Amino acid sequence: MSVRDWVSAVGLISGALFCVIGAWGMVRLPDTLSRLQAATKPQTLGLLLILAGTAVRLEPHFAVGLVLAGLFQVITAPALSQLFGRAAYRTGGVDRSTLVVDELAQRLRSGRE
Amino acid sequence: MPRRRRHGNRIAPSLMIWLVVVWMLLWGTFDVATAVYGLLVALIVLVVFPLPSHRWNIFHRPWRLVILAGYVIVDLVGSAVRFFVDTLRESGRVSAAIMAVPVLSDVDHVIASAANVVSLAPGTFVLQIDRSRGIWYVYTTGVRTAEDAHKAYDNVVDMQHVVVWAFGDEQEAPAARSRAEEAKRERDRSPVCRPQQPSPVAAVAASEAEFRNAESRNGESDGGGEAGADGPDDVAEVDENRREDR
Amino acid sequence: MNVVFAVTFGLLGVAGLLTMLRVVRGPRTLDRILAVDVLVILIVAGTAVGMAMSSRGIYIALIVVVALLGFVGTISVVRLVERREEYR
Repeated sequence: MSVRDWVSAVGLISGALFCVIGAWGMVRLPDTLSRLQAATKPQTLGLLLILAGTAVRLEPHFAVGLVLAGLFQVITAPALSQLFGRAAYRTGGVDRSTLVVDELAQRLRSGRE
Repeated sequence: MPRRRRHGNRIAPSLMIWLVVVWMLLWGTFDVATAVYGLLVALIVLVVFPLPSHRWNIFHRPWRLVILAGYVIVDLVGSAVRFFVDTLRESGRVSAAIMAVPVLSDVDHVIASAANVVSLAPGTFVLQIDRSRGIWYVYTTGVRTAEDAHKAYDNVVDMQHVVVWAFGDEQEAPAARSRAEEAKRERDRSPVCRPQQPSPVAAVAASEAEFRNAESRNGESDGGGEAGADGPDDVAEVDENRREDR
Repeated sequence: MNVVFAVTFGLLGVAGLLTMLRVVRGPRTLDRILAVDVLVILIVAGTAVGMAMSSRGIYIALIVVVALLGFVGTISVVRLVERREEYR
């Protein structure tokens, strides 16, 4: 195996591991907000690693497209999680027993009184 | 540039360059013809979907961008590991906090970028932005004690500071620094940012009931029996699922 | 190197199965949407691995388009669900 193969192997396997851990967290965690954390972020990291692992095995000319895909993922993931988190919070997707402090609820309550 | 004169501030050159670069990356070819078509497409996109004009000078200081990228990558990997170790150790039991964190910038696109950077790291994201008061509500997992909460709070403030330093203009960075320091000092004094120890079951139930009252939504009662006409199955399933997961 | 590809595909397959479990179990619509979004990312990742295996960049456009479409689709469905549940 050449150096390039090693880099690729490390990227692919660690990326796939992140994907598995994220999926496992998504099954295991109790409420939508924490599942959101387990779902979107590790997937992003895992996908980036896999794309990197793939890119080193391709001609640079193709690898550029992969960089673009990774860039899109990095830009869209936080926007998605923000929108998702807001929807989950508003529609009761949060298990309140997991929260040690919730200043948003305090704020919403005080705004209503 | 002639484009700029015709459309005033609507077509920012940096945005244009960015679109052309994306176009060329998509095609994977770097020749003049692609660039010309890219320019054409970018022009059409910018004319048809105009963006609010602003001074978007992120390529002003490339070194700061590189440092920001490094910071983000380190934070991304570090917090991913932290999040997983925490989740594995507690076998899926989560302890989280929603904290109010002051926003360090006044410029829309800097705030948006900072929110995105903060949200990118596992375990933390910006749940709500209160623009008028300049407050973010940040959701963070792995918060069990007051100390954890303080650490998470400082982390968010620091990250924001780096983003403002990289994206904001010259006057903004020092202002952000002083605001960041002030925010940390305030955090020590403010009673709101001091979370209770993980609360006993009774306290949780009480706060839950209180929240339900405040929200006063029909069909969300804890009994699970008298749900609204829309989705009795849904509510029952939620409750069952929660018990299962404990 | 073949072992690496096999292991990667295996891990991605396990991740996909776990995600499917969440799609089936729900319990909320939002959970299912989230799981489907993750599935899309896993499919993109799998396509990339396939490309690495053949060392040919034939699916680049597919990867970019699927990743973006997944984002747009998820965003619109989330908005829809949020609105529906708010006015209930």
